[in-house]
Amino acid sequence: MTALLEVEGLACGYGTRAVVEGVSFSLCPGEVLCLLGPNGIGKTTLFKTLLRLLPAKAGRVLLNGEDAAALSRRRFAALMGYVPQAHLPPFPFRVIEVVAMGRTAHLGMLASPGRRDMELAEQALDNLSIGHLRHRACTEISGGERQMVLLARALTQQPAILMLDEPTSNLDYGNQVRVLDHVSRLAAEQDLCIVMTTHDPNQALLHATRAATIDRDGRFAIGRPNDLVTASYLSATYGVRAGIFDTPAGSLCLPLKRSWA
Amino acid sequence: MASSLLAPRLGIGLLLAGLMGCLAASLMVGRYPVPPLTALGILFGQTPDWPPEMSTVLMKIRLPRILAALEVGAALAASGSAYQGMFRNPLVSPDILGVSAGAGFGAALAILLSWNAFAVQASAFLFGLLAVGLTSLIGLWRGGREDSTLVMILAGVIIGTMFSAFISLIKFSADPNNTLPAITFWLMGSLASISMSDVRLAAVPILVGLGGLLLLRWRLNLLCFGDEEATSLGVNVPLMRLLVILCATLATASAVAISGIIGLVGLVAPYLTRLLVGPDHRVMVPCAILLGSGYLLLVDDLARSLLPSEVPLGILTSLLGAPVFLLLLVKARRSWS
Repeated sequence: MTALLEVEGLACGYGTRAVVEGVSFSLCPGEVLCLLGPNGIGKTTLFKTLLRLLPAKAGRVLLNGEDAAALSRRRFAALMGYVPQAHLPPFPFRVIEVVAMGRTAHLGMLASPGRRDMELAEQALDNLSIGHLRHRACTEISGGERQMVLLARALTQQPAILMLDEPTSNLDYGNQVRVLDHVSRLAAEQDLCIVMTTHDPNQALLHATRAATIDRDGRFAIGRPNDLVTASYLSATYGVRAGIFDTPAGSLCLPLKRSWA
Repeated sequence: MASSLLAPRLGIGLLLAGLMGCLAASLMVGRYPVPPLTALGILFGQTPDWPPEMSTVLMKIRLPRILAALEVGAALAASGSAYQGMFRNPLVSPDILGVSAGAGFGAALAILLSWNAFAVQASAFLFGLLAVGLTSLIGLWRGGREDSTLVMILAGVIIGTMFSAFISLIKFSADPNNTLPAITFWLMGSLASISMSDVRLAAVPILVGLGGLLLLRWRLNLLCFGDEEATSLGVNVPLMRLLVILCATLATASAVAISGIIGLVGLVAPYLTRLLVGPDHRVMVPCAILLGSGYLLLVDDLARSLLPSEVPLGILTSLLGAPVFLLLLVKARRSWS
């Protein structure tokens, strides 16, 4: 299968300083990549560079074989959709209005969404089983619902690659499970290529086909989740003792309780 | 729960009807009452069976003033809506961002130098742009680190104060026999001395500004979600911001150049409009234009008929606007915490 997202020797950072260097990988349709790492290590920097929100220091990103840096804004947005962390917009837009904003990349400079665009927005809401929210104000729904609305907006964008920035932070347990189930399903059913950042190693073990880590020296590593998320990785990166356990649901990691006796 | 009281079409319809009502009333009220049928007769050029001064009052004094109120109200309301969407902040308006003071300084400078009316407009526009540019720069500089809503307001207050000081400097150096009274009275914010040529001169830039904002109005929704999200949705954010600032500042500056500083209309009109029809700029911007013109028309009717001698319009709009600002501040505090 041909790669949808190819990253070759990418270096990223702010100003003159490179935070992460030597990032190379490629992803095919249907793959889910979990980007793990503690705060302040360059996860977000790498993520924003892939999204073209920050300029790359070196290397390049290919989308569908085309150099991402050379693509027009609209073409880029039609290939890569961004699901930011849920936050409150300053005005109480209705959910359906927010989701229809995903059509921007497919509309002319002065156009606004038409009937067909609204249908696609409705479909995205139904696809994520949140059709009942369509006329609610996006400031009055829960954080989990808001995260789903942003996911629906990115789906309305009809991208080939979906970038999710810590989609489960700020969500309660039930919503975390629901959001990740939908993400896994989208990769499997619609052959979307998904890149998400997360703090939870178990999300990589459970949902990812590939995991990537950035260590304290800015070194990037990528591999199968089971090979990368190990007890020694968790101890080296987070300084915690944790074990990896084989369960019927797959391998999972658990912190080991110290004995105080 | 829906986020608006009225459906879009109903909202536009009601606001349009309301505006027509205000228009009709404004033609008739005033120190010199004109009966409704006579007013219609004069407007549509029927053979006169009324005293000639009635026609003069209506066509030379009242009509220019009404048209100016419509222009200025529409310009301030639309640019207030645009600035609020672009800065993602329901607490900003042309005056709070310092644009009005900047444009006021530009116009006062041109009056001091006895430039012509076109140059007054151009100078108001340039200094209005300078003011909003400075405010945005301060907002960008500090806004990432601190509460950006508040930083933007404080930046606007400082820039506004600076330009007000420059205006005082101009008044200080103006000839007390001719230019000083002209500048002082005009700055108070009044439509009392407006002529048909003022109305015509301001119409072009205001219509251009409003037209631009109407064309871009859906994209204003996208800017409300912040630069990164808007960019990732495919919006050319720097270009969009530049266009919105140009259009909104053009409309504001032209309004200021003919009417002086009429405070807080650009805050009140978007706020009321959002309450009625919700925040979607596709509906909200045209409705704010209708509501803003109607609002200013009504307040101007009050200004000229409330007391035996006329109250400057700017004083009334500021007194009406201040409680709205406080209300918004309380609401915003609640959502920040």
